[in-house]
Amino acid sequence: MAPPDIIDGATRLFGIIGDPIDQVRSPQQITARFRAAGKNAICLPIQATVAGFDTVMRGLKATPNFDGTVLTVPHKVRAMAHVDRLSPQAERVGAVNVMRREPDGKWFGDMTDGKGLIRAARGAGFDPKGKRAVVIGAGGAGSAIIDALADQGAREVTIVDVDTRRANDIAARLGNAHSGCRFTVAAKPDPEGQDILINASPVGMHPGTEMPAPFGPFDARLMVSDVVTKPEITPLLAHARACNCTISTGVAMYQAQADMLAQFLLPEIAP
Amino acid sequence: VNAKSGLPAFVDGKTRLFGIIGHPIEQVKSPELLTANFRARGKNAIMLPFHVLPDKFDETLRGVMALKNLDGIVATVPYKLRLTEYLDHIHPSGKRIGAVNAARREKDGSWSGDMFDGQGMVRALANAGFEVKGKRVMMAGAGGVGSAIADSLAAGGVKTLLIHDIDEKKAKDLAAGVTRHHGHGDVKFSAPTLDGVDLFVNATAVGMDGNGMAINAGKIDPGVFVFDVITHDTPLLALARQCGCKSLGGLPMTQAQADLLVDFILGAS
Repeated sequence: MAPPDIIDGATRLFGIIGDPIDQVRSPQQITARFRAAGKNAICLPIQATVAGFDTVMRGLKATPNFDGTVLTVPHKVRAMAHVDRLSPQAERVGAVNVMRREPDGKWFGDMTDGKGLIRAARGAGFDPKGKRAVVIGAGGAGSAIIDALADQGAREVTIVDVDTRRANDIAARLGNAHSGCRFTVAAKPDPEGQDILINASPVGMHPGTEMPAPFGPFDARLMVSDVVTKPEITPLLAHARACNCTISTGVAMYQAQADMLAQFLLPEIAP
Repeated sequence: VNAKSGLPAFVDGKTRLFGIIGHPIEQVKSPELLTANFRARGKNAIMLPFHVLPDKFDETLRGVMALKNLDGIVATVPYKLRLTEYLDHIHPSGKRIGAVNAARREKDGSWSGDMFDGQGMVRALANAGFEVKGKRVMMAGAGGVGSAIADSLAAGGVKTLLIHDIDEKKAKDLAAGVTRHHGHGDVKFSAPTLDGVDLFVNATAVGMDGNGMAINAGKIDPGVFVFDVITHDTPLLALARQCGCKSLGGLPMTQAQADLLVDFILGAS
């Protein structure tokens, strides 16, 4: 039977939990994927404050027709406490961006933030295998991207963060998990000799802001990716384009991510 | 996004959430009815089905009420009484009835609730051409929905209201409460009967699973109007049809109160 136009008593519930929530796109993107697959399911915007997060999670997990949720800022680390099992990626990164109820009733958490960016970069012709990468920003998104680069065969990842201790911690932690990749920490991003430069910091998100660093001209062989979605073409990406580099946008990353999230939440819709 | 209404196809980050709590939940009609009602008013809002397990009620309610973008709750079986424990303020009819089927978050963050089932039921009867004024009514069930119906029937001027419940004290307390508030002389406990009755109301869950009736009868006089609060077909409604009685199920009651419910839960926003 085709799903109803909107929602009925049998609709299966999923969510994206964050604060703020107005700006999230998962409700449209993931719900559209569920509906396209013929499923009577919806992805709701769920606003939970830091103080209310544990109460919200306990309530939603106790709701039998709530089957899974995406987690966004600021809940990705705290969500670890609400899953029973973790994927290797989530375990290495120390954060969860999506969780679902398994057939045995246990909750399984994964981290797809990094994989989304790499999938988008692959879509633009980039393969991380044997490559050198510089990643700006070692927060939640940055560490997931660094992990995914190493997981998919990158040879070297240079980590740049204003908080050098945070950058060092991640280099040490992921260094133990990925013996085939060399992690270094740098005070400033240097694109020289790199294959890909990734901005995983919020720089570029606010009007009037500039690039994460005062870059000179890029070599046209450098691939440049950004996690920022608004504006889609950040000052960094505009500069990269002007230098004839291949770029991959935050919007492309989120679209790749939406496929993965929808398929993780409802595994039966995976191709 | 629909260019004309400005509303998203289903939902987006700005959609305001409302939920109906119940057990079971799959059969509820409010998600479709009330979401359509919101959208007809141009509101980017959605009514969700929340399946709440009786032994997880507190944990679930605390979680649902902690959702910052959730503005209201509709309660159905079996939570119309239990929801009152979570409210800071209950409007007079809800207070009289001791149960609510709608609650909203006020601007100051407090929660208030009221009961609309009785008004919905009387409206649904009127829409079907049955005026309650001056009628003799037998009602089975003195729980949340029964209390609401009794209150609205008395307000609508029934001549006699007979109430039965397997918990006799509950039925007698309800009759006494209705008498006290409405100054009505002929509201009392009775065993289920169809004698001289104009309207028979089932306000129990009997028949919800397709088995049983709240009255032990092989046939019903065709002059009796039969009303069942259950939103799908029941043995009682089937018998009423078979006997040529006019009848109504719970769905028209839900439909008739949709505007009242939505007016209330959107009232604070």
